[in-house]
Amino acid sequence: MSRLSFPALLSAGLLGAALLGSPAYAQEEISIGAVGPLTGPAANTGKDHRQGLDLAVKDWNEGRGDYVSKNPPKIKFAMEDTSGKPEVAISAAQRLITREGIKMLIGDTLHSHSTLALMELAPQYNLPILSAEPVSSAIADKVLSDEERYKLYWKGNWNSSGYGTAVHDFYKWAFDNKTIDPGSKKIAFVVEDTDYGIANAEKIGELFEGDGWSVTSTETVPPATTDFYPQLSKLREAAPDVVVSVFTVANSGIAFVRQLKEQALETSHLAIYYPTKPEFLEQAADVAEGTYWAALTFSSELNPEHKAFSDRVEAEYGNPGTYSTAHAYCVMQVALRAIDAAGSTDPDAIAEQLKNTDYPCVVGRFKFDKDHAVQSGPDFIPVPVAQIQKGKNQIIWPENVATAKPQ
Amino acid sequence: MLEVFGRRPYLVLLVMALLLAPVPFLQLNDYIVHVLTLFLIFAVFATGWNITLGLLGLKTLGHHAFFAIGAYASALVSHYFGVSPWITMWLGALIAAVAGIIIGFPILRIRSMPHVAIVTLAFAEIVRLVFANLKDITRGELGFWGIPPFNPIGIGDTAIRFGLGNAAGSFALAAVLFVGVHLILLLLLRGRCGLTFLAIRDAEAAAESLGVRLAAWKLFAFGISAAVVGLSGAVYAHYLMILTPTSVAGPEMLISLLAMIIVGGVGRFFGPIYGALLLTATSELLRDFGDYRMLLYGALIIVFVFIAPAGIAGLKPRLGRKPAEATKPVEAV
Amino acid sequence: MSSTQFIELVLNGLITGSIYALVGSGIALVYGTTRVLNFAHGELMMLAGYGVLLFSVTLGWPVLLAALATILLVMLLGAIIQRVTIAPLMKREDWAFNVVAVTIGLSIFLQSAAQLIWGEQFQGVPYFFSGVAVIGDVRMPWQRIAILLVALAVMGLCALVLFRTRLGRIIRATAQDAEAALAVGIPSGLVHTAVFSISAALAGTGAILLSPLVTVSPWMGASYLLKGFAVVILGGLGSFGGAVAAGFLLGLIESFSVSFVSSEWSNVVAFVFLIAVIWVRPEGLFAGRGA
Repeated sequence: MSRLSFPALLSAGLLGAALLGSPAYAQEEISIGAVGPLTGPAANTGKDHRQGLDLAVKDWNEGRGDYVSKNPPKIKFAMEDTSGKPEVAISAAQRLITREGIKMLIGDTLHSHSTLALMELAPQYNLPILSAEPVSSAIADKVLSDEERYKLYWKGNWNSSGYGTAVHDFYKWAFDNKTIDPGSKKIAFVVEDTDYGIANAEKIGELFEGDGWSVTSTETVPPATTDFYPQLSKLREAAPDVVVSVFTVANSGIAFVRQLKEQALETSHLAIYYPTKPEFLEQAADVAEGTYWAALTFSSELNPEHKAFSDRVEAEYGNPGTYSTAHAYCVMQVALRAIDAAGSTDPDAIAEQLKNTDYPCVVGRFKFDKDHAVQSGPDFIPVPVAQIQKGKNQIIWPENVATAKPQ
Repeated sequence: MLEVFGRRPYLVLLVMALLLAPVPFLQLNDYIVHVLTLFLIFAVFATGWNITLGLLGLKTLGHHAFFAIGAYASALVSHYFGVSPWITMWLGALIAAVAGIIIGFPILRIRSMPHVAIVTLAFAEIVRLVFANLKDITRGELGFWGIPPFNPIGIGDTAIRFGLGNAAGSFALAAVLFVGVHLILLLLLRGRCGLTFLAIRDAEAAAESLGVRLAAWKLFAFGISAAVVGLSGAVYAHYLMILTPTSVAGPEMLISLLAMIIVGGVGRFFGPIYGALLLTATSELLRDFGDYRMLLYGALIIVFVFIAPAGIAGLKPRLGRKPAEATKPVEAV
Repeated sequence: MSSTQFIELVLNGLITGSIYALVGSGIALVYGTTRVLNFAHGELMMLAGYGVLLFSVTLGWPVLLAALATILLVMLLGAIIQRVTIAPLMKREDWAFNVVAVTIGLSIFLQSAAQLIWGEQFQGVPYFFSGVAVIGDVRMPWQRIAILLVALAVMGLCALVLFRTRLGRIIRATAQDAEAALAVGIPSGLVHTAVFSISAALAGTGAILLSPLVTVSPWMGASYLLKGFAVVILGGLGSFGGAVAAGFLLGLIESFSVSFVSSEWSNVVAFVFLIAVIWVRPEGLFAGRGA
């Protein structure tokens, strides 16, 4: 045996075992796959998605689904990890496609950058793809750039411009109302260095600049940053009238709100995303009073329907449901109903049914727009702005769903 | 030389080429071909890095920066200027080589291993941050998409297509790259050039006293090494068609590649190839246990350093020919 | 720039810098005595973070007691790591790279193990000191001021041990020539372990001070490692005092670069500075006196 063959055979044997390990088995059910971050810093959210998707499939298979046809198909569901990285997402999706024989992909469940990569698989494998929580408007722009190519791709969440519009419209309303003083019309951003943070800052900045505001600075910090003193020092000097912060890691938000309070900056502060995490209010209740935030899309306290859903998740998995669980649940419902309505696994038929979707679910009404993204707004999935008052969340805008007046 | 290349390196490479050749025709499922393609790209990356790490003995820890530079340079030029990736991949390699030579200058002045390790690590961090921060050009962490795949090649009536989703063509391209790079490096390193590198590694002062122009040779090695790594980065970019700074220049890339080289065998020409194959395979095997993948990488590095510091390329089956060598390399500190 | 902002930037720089100094001086101490570059140093911080979480939050011990217990715990862990993974490699001819490789492996192993054991979430530790000091327009929470003061005290204590005690003389003798030290009856193996423990204690102190501000997570130490290395090189490899000075310098550079360029470029500025220094002065800025 030569020098080559021993290590080479060892490696090749392992590779063979890895790739051929589990045989593909006979198809009776329709397979649906999902890819999302189950490891790494975003794993908590990814695990919520898995519960939501899983719960929807369970309901569907056990006769509790909201069926379209009389004879709904049975569904088999598998989810793979992306570690939050696009190239791993591609690898995971290919594995689902070739080994599990999936007829539809839910993906990415969280990350926009992975979704931008995954949507290329739709034309190549002739596979319907529905992303869950990604919001980046770049995805919708890509769809519009070549609609024929991305006809099988659909985006199960609103565009990041949805946040932008909501934040802008809320402030406009509050300025008109004299609730908040626009001062010298300066806005600043402190956001995390992810697609999510940057896309939101850009959109909001654009809308405010349209109203004659100036953006004093956009401070981008690595995800999970918790020391904002250098940034706050800079902000104090620029003296913005509105500060918008965007973090997906709750602890960044907790630290930011605490340090903002310590530095006693005289500014209106609006937080995006992180107050949706339950640990935010648990750990920052003492310093977060008066903070505005978007978007209170899921609240067990204020919304009985959300409470019921959260309790179901708790009964099933032992932890309360979050917005991510509920949204993933709804996305899977939309997917299942489209497959059911299509009456086959023909990709074009499924895409056609997705296009026709108009379905009220626990987080709102799902209806796709021309850019293949779910629409946001009072008639669709609401993007309410909330304020923390006496240690509790209250919806303050839009007025038709408000539970309290801004203070 | 024997220890580094084995007895018949050209034969080994030929066997590898023969093993790879039939793969596109086997009608394997796309996923397997995809994993094999990634293995080939990473094997080239690992071999390129091994030139400075193993052959020259400079313990650099920042080669993922060259991978990122090659990948982004080729992707950006082909995207913005509409140049064919067949041309830009060489540009990517060239730019990576220039970057390698530039970062080589401060390193020339230092002999201490920790300095080299830290400077190269800091360099990689700078590169990652620059690509992440130049959002107008690279879109930062949002990911740079819209990278064109390699243009199709027509042979007779059939066109070979490349890029994600065209598994066979992409594999063929990666295989040609793999065999080509290793062949050229063998031709180069089996001659005076390789001998000089090893002399610098094993006895720097002696080599210098014998008239080896250390500075020039080290920069040359850095350039070659960075060019090979950059080339693999360019092929990776046009294959996956999306890049994010963290995925190509982040710490996980460093750990994965370092593990491949250490497990395969630092300073053995074919070592990194075995390491890349083994780790790509096991990490796919362990996909269902995603949480344990990095744990395994860490553990593998520790175990191999302790038990088999020469990697799997240094393992010898008990039966077979006598141990062929063995002067242990003396670390020049 | 107003004078308030200037003072704030200096204070922020010194506070961040004091953590860099704690981390860097620990790495420098180990390097100066044993020539080992420990890539798992950040994970000692991470383990200390979980120690604080366990003792002070879960078990509800008083802060001082929890801090002492945590420091003892990481000193023990540091000693074990040195004995089990590093000491056996020191006999090899190419130990320098072997040790780097093993500690990198250990670092990633501990990070993933922590992730499996404690989960991915970032866990908060309440402030040890409440209240905000207000001097003129400058507002600074006592928790932050405490970081600076405690870090200075601990590093001072360390310097005292190094330069004024018998143990310090033994450590410095081993650093200069381990074999000669052995010849006069100093057990250099034990000294190496002791140094590792002290270095772990410095990292642990940093982590305890930081934990209320940065929260505890498996990646808590990783971001400080490269900064720690930068500090060690800037200070002159192996120089304790140099590392302390360089730590404060790096903190100030970062703090000021946030205000002159954007936040996301501050690390680029810091690392470019590092490479520039090495190019011009490979022996470091404050080279001179050994460990």
